[in-house]
Amino acid sequence: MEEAQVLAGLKRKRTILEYITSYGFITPALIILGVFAIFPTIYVFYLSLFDWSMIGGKTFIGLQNYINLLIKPPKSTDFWHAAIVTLEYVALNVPISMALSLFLATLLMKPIKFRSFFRLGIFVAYVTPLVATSIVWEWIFHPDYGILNSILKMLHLPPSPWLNGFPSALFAIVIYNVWHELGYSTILFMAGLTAVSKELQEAAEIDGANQWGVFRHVTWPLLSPTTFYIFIISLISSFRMFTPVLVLTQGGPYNSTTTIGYMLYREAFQYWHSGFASAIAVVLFGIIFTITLIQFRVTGRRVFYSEGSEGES
Amino acid sequence: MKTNLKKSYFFTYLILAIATIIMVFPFYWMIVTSLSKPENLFAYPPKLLPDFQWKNYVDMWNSNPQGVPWTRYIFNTLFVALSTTLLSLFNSSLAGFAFAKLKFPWKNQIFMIILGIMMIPGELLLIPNYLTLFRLHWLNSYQALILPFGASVFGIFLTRQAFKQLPNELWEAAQIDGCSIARFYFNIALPIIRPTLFAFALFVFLGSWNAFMWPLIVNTDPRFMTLEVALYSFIGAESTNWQLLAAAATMATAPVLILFLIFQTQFIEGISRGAIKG
Repeated sequence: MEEAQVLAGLKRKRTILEYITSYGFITPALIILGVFAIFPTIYVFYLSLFDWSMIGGKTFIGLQNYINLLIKPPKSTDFWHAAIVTLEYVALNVPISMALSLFLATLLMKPIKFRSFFRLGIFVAYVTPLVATSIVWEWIFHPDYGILNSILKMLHLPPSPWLNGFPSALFAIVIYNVWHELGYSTILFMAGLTAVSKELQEAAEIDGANQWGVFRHVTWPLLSPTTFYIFIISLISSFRMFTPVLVLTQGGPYNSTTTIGYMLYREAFQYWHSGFASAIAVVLFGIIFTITLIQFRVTGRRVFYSEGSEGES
Repeated sequence: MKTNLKKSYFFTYLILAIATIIMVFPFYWMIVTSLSKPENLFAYPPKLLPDFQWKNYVDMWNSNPQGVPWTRYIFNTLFVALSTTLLSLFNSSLAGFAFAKLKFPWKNQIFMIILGIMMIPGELLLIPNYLTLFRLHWLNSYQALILPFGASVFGIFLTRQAFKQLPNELWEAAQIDGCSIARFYFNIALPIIRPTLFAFALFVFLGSWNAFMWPLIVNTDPRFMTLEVALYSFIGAESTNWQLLAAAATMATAPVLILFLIFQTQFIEGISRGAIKG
């Protein structure tokens, strides 16, 4: 009887010790995530209700920032212009990078030699820093001495002003981003294709279907979860894109490359319209959150997109 | 049929070779430009082979952008990347272990909140986090670049999955032997999940090395700038000296390229497991 009590006491002691240790283990992570992720998420909504420029006093103005942003010119004109630029960018970038990476992934899945070599070459751009590689692309795009225009000249095609022209600047940004991100979606497509049953494809091939037929009727439907996942993450990252804009065009010429993300950066850290910029951040978050919700409803899978560092986007 | 197959593989090789050349060419062009004599930069047709003008690198190295030597920028970048990696590895795996193996009140609720953080894009946090650092007087410091990334939801998630793979018998046996939780974590659990920790460390290090937006905003004092931010201001200073810009870009890219070439399997497998950020 007493022994049992002692044992129960020991067990309780151990349970309490486990609770204390557990909280000790999660506290460092919770403090950092609390201070730099949870608190600011709530705080930014609060900030968006003020007229405030970082230094100086805050004036509560309710929803005025949102009204200025979405409805009342001149700011709303800027915003809707940026929204259209962002949509144009998304509409170009997402299909191009998805089509190219799916095509390359299908080729890489064939029983060929040097596969890992090709894969390496296609992937390597993804891990390299944005500013450093933007420098090279700025030089490649140079309107007078860039190698891209030299090639066009050799082919007797008209040169393009690329980053200095409208609408070529947006295309140049798309080219740069497709180049930088292509390897990532290619690897994801390859993983998806590996999962699609080989036997099913082979069976279809034996039944006399040609390569395109197998792809169209067997591979493509089976691959659709992967395709949808890649579509969502590339949609989200396209909506957020702004570092290449900052480095390559500063939003120009004539704001033709000013995306919502770049407008947010400029309002927040060049004009110091902190309250107004917070409202932009909230709206951008709303767009991304909606996409995430749709994705989550459809597949139940989580999208990772805010990890690592805010520096990368 | 056979010749048909061969023919189709010929086109596979051809397309893949062209794609690889296009994807790798910018790096080649960066090196060629960095070794080019200034007068050859503007040649038409362009000179595709380098001049091996190593002097460009000396000039770049001696340029002291914003009055700070490149060694300082390199040190900053390395120091920040290594500290962030160690800190995040430590904090995330500790929490990951607790969520995988320990029982405590509110465990699932807390874990759901942490997972919810994954839905928050970094842009939303820029302004309030800048303000937090401003109030702490941490603008222009190393901790400004390290602490906000000192724990990662993704890392917690990843290490939790790995710790869950540990057989429960091992954990029970250790408890019966009177091994404390902390000792079990440090001496037994951590060494077992080394491959996961290593893959995670690679991605944190890379993310920190390549980070740009956050360091650009919080550290405006050149003495605390990282390479990417220093490069950005170097563009403004040397706007037409493409050979110097390319040399600096090569310097900032080379470490990442080398790291990637050594550990390419871990990188690519990490991503294809669907585990890595987009």
